[in-house]
Parts: sequence; C-alpha cells; structure tokens
Amino acid sequence: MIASSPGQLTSSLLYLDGVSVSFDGFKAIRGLSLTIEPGEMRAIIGPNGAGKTTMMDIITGKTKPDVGTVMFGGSIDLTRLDEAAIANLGIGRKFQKPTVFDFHTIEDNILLALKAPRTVARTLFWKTAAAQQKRIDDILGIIKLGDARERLAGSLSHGQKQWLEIGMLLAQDPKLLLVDEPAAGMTDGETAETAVLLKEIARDHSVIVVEHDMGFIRELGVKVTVLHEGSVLAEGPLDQVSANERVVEVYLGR
Amino acid sequence: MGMYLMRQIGSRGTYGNPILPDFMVFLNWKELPWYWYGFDSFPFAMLMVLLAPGLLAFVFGWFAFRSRVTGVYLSIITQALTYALLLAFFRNDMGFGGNNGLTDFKDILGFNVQAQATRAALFSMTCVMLIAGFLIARGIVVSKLGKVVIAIRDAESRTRFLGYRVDRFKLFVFTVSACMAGVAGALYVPQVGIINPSEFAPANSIETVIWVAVGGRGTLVGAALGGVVVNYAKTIFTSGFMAPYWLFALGALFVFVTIFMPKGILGTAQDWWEKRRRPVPTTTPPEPAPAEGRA
Ligand SMILES: Nc1ncnc2c1ncn2[C@@H]1O[C@H](COP(=O)(O)OP(=O)(O)OP(=O)(O)O)[C@@H](O)[C@H]1O
Ligand SMILES: [Mg+2]
Repeated sequence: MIASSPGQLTSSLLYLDGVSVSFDGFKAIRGLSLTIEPGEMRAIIGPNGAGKTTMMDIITGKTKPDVGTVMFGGSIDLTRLDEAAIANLGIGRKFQKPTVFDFHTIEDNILLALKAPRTVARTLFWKTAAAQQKRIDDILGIIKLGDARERLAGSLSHGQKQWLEIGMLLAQDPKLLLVDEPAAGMTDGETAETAVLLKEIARDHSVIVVEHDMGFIRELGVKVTVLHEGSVLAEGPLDQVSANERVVEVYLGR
Repeated sequence: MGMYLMRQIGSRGTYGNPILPDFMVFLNWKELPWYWYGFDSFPFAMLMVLLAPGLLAFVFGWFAFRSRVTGVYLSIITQALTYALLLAFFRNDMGFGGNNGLTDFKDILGFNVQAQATRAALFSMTCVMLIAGFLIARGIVVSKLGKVVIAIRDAESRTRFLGYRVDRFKLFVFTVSACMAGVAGALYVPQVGIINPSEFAPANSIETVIWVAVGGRGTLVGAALGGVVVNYAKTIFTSGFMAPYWLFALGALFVFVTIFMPKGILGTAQDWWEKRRRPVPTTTPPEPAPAEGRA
C-alpha cells in the first residue's frame, strides 16, 4: 500500500485516500489511495474488474464511496458534489464505451462540450462567437474530423468516435482529464496517433489514462499505477512495475 | 378560462345570483371560494391560464426530475397525477362543478360565445396561437438549448458529465409545454362550450401521443399535422353511424401507423419525396466511411 502523507493533500490536484465502495456486498474498491500532481499524466493498468472504471465513477460523482477521502485541488470534497458540479469544476471524462451524441453532427458534439456557461437561460440565447467557432474548428482539425463536421456522430467508426470524444474533452478544457481505454478497438496506427495526441494534451492538462495496451502505455512514458482487486498493487515507472513479481502474476504474466 | 366564463354569466344563471355560479347556489354555498376571486377579470384569467399549469408543472417537475424519475416511470406518475386530479375535481366540494363541470357560458369579453362572429374570432385566435406556439417551439429547438435537450434524450448521463444540469433543462421544457397546454385549454373551452373533469382522463394523453405518432415523431410540423388529421377523422367518425367504433378506429390507426409508417405522415412523405427526386436506386444513404486502415 502506498502511504500518502497529509502534506500531499494541499499540493496535489487529485487526492484519494482510503476509498472503498461495494456493490451488493462485493468490494469493487478497497482502501484505494492515489495522488495526482498538477500537470501530471498518469497511466493506470490492471486486470479486468480491478476497479479502474469504478475509480473514475467515484472521481466524477457517478458513484459515491462508502468511506474514504476524495479531494480536488486540495480543498474541494468531490464526494459531496454531483456529476454536473464536478464537471464544471474542471474534470472531464472519456468513457470506456465511446459515448457521443449520435443524432448530433460532429460539430454540434464539440459545441455542446465547449467550455461555456451551462445554464438554461444562457444556452437558450446562445450565439457562437467567432473565437469560439475558431476553437471548434481547431479541435476538429486536431482530431482529424474537420471534413466530416456535418456528418452525424452516429455514423462514425469506433475509432473515430474515440477521437471525437477526446475532442469533446479538449473543448471542455478541463484541469483534469480521465481517459478510459482510448485505444480500445483501434488499429496499431491509430493507437500510435492517439498516444501522440494524449501526450500533446498532457502538456497543459493533468491526465489519467486507463489502458490495457502495453505498447501504448510504453509510448506515453509516464508513471504507472497498477490496480488489483480495488487497491494499488504497485506504482512507479513502467519498467519497474513490470519487473514486480506480483504484477507479473496477476496481470502481465497471463 | 371556464372560471372566467362562469363569472361572466352573472345574474343570468337559472338562480339569478350575480356572484355565485349556479352549481354553488345549488349546493347552498353562501360565499364564493377564495380561488374563484379575480376570475371575473379577463386579464387575470389569462394570466392564470399560463400561471396555473406552469406552476403545477414546475413544482411537480422539480421533484420528479431532481429524483431522476425517467421514462416509463415518469409517464406513469404524470398519469397518476392527472388521475388524482380527475377524482378530486369530480367531487362537488372541490368547487368546480363536480362531474357536470362548467357550462352554459354566455359571453366572452362582452360577445356572445355562440355568435358566428365570436366563433370565427376564437377560431382565428386558435390559428394565431398555433403559429405562436410553433414559433416558440421552433426557437427552442434550433437554439443550443434544443441541442442540449436532444443530447439528454440520447445520452442523459453523458450530458451530465459535460456539466449540464439535466433536471433544469427538463424542467424548462416541461413547464413551457404546460403553459402551451394551458393556452390550448383556454381556447378549447369557449369553443366547445363545456369543460368537465373527464378531460383529465388518461385517454386524452394517449390521444395526444397518437396525434404525434400519426403526424411524425421528432418534428414540430408533424405534431400539428397529426393533431389536425386525427381530429378531422374523429369529427367525421363520431358524427355518423360509425360513432360507436371511433375508439377502435383510433386504436387501429395507431397500430397501422406504428407498423407501416413509423415516421408518421410527414416522415413518410419526406422519404417518398426523396425517392422521387433521385429515382436512380444506386444512391443509398451515405454509408459511414470506415476509418482509414481499419482491419
Ligand atoms: N454499478 C455496479 N454495480 C455492481 N457491480 C459493479 C458496478 N460497477 C462495477 N461493478 C463491479 O466492480 C468491479 C470493478 O469494475 P470496473 O468496471 O471498475 O473494472 P475495470 O478495472 O474498469 O475493468 P475493465 O478492464 O474490464 O474495464 C467489477 O467486478 C464490476 O462487475
Ligand atoms: Mg473499465
């Protein structure tokens, strides 16, 4: 278990300590502690059912932990807030199963994600300013969907949906991005491009990436946390954790 | 509206009481209940036409949407609410005429409700309101708020993770539609000449759903078109020898449309038009282009 000292709380962007949650008696997360520094990119790996997605559910307010501390920016208790409030604090999320708005155009998907007031009145009387339109165009360019902007998102391939969702994250411009399996269902070429894109994003955002693809994780070249049965099994550079006997046994060795 | 019209009867009622409507005199009531005050004034009554349903929808929606009641459950509790209102308004004590409702109207703004000219004016007003309602709805649909609402329809929790307060958006459209329904009711009462609690019956909600299904789901024009078509059919059906079979015909219409015209009249007509414009069958709808280099 990684001990976290109280001093880390104030300096860290995200601070989880002793978090547990159970579903009908099944402990999906047990005593999870994790600290993310501002500007850090962290990769999370672990076998199926290790609790990676559940951890993201806890951070984004979808699941409330039974016990434990979840703090953002040193002083904000995330367990007391709902999904919308947490999103507005600057935590964005890409889902394991890509979820975009199928009946909206690609451009509208980005528009809906674009950082802007989220109230009923402000959206009713919304006018996209030139600077905002430019931002949308830039993002469409980054995710290589500029020519497809008028198409319905539902018509995209799996890989393209993944990219669109990353584009939506960019549009939100959050402080912390939670990215769940961005390379799932992608070809090797697309996976490599996604790694480049994420590294680009990580230059001015904090990012947590969950992935099973070891090549992808190696590409990112960041600190790795191994989850197993709901708690941290090992943490450190990829070479170090992949040499860890327990990690090989429960995950890599299979 | 019914309350305003009742108050306009004044002393011309059977019992000749200048203040109390007939049914209250009949019940031996001595005073006008507080909630009937003000309804002798047209502007006040019109304000209430918007405010009463709007407020009810707001309060109800506030609780329902905050507790994340959705889909079938929301339909069931809205139906349960109207059913409860039906039972409540059937009671004479409620002060709305019990099962007879409000009727025998005389004037509206000093004009005889049954005069041809008044009826024509009311009908024109209905058309004006239909257009106004359409424009308001259209404004909402094309705004960014409209896009948020579609996003909620298709992926509610995703919308929440983008930071939108889903319950507020639902509450907004729910309340706006309640206000529109209030206006519709206010126009319906003087033209039909009676309003009683049986209008609360669940069958009415079902009929409205059928209008939309027949006209074309997911479009504004379709909803209005379906309303006109179904009600025109209803008028023809219920005034002939086939009158007893109207409900069967309505049910059959719904089944037919659902199976053979899932997009309703409007959607089917659009598809047909598209086909005619491009008779060459090679142009199938644009296939999603596969990602480059995908296996
Ligand atoms: N809402 C829920 N109700 C019941 N059980 C749940 C729920 N969410 C997650 N679980 C269980 O918790 C465990 C952890 O699931 P989680 O989805 O977090 O795993 P994961 O590490 O993301 O796995 P994968 O690599 O397959 O995505 C699983 O056994 C899962 O079945
Ligand atoms: Mg997962």
